[in-house]
Amino acid sequence: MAEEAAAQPRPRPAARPARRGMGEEEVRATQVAAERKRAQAEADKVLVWPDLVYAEFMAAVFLTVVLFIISLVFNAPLEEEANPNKTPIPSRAPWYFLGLQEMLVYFDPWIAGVLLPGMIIVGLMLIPYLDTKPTVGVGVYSWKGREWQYIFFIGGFALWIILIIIGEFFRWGPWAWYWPWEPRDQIKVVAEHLSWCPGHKDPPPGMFCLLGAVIYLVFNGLAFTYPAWVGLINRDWGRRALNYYRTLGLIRFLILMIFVSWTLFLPIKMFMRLVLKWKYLVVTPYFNI
Amino acid sequence: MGEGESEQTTSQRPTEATTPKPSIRSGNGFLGKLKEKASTTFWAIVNSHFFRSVYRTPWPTDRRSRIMTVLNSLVLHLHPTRIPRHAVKVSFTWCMGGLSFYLMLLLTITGILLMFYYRPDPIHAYMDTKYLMNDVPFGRILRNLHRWGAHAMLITVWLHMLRVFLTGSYKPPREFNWVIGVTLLVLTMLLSFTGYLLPWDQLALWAVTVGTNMARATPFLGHEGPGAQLLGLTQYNDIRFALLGGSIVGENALIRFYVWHCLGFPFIHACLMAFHFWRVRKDGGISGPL
Repeated sequence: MAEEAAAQPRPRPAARPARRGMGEEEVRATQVAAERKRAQAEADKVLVWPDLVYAEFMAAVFLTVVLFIISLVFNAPLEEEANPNKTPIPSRAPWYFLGLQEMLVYFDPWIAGVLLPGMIIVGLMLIPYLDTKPTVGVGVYSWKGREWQYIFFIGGFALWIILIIIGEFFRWGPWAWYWPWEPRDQIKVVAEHLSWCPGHKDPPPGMFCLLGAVIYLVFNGLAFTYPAWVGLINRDWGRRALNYYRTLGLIRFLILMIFVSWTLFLPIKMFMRLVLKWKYLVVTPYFNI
Repeated sequence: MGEGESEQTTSQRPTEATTPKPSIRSGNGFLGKLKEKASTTFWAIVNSHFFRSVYRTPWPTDRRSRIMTVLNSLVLHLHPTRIPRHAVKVSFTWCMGGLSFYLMLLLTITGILLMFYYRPDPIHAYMDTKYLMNDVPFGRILRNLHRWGAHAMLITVWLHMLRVFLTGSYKPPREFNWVIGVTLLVLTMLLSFTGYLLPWDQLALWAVTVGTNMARATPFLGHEGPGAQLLGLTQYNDIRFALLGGSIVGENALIRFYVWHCLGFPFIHACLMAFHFWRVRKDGGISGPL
């Protein structure tokens, strides 16, 4: 049978089997099918002029018209001249950086202003290299097969937008929380009812907070070891988590989990600060988280 | 390679476009005559010596000349000559990448025009902005367009990133172009941020103060960050000082932000953008199912 197949003209020179265990005939059938699909896609193409150029031109015209109307109706803000001796309250960063300014509430400046922005940028760049499904959903919107990728990315995107909205509409005075219906001329005190860390109203003796440290370690411990324990809840989840871990390998898994755990930690920390009124979770003599 | 692409790009003078048979049924009324006149004028222009000397291909009327038009145009040849059907659908692309590029062009043009009226020092900067808003002909719409265009570009770039993620367009072989894209996103925000200081009003000064104060806390680089005492950092020798050219947002900061905004970042941005577009083509054009 193999000789017979070899004698016939092939659509392509002998290639590696597309999948291990494929017979010669099967490989050829796959190649023919792929070739046919390619040819069909090639034939189905449309011309750039006029089909694409027209769409681009109309989009540009539409945007220009919208921008001109906006620019005619709304003036770009221009306040009084810069005065280093007169600090406006609140001093807001530009709206696209309000997410970072809002994070300053939940973390010390070196985390909120430097570490986390750096992690956002690096984390975004690493996405293609930590992707375990490089062939799933390319060039299509496919929720199916990419559920967790969609949830994580859209969740992160939404979090960034939510932080901007909070910073723009829910903050006033010394960056205190104001509901939209609250009068803005009443000055609020920020530090009110805030405890230093769980269980301690003031900085704890010896700069150590047991409860906070335990919560932090348990959270990170659970996150980093989840393939090991999630099977106890649901056997199927456990199997999938272990597969996932094996696909990534130890190093890539650890890198991924650093970013995932910090992303999950941000809303948790927001909850601790806004609802539980804890300033810090982890207290050490050198730094606080 | 499509059939059109394998054609050699000739250096010959383009031949006249074949005037198509009038497809519009021109009536005898005024409107019909007008249509006929417009059509004749259009073809007269398109077939004129000058027009044919500008464009290397006759006005596209058939499949071949349409393909040649794209191939032979400096601007249009960023595109392939033919693309998959799904790639022209707004529901797939959201048009956000293209609009980001368009906004960049708009911002460059309005920015150059604004530079004619603006002097980047604390004595003149605010007055020049006021002058632009109140006295310069079309100055106000120029500044408004530049400001709102910049905000719009941030939104289009963010949405472009979202679209590229949702369609899995960062997956192999496009990984590295995604990395370049993230760099472009950061550059867009830096461009916007450096421009924020230039009007030299209270909003600008304090927004930039808040923004650059974060640099104080950089570990081992800022004077309020972890490790500052270890390295003997003060507010006169840390990273923020380097960014601002001083310990406060003053005249040195203004000229630094101005140069970064008008020359430094646009230069890097343009280089990376060229690479981004080139790489889109090299990685197989717009992503699609297959």
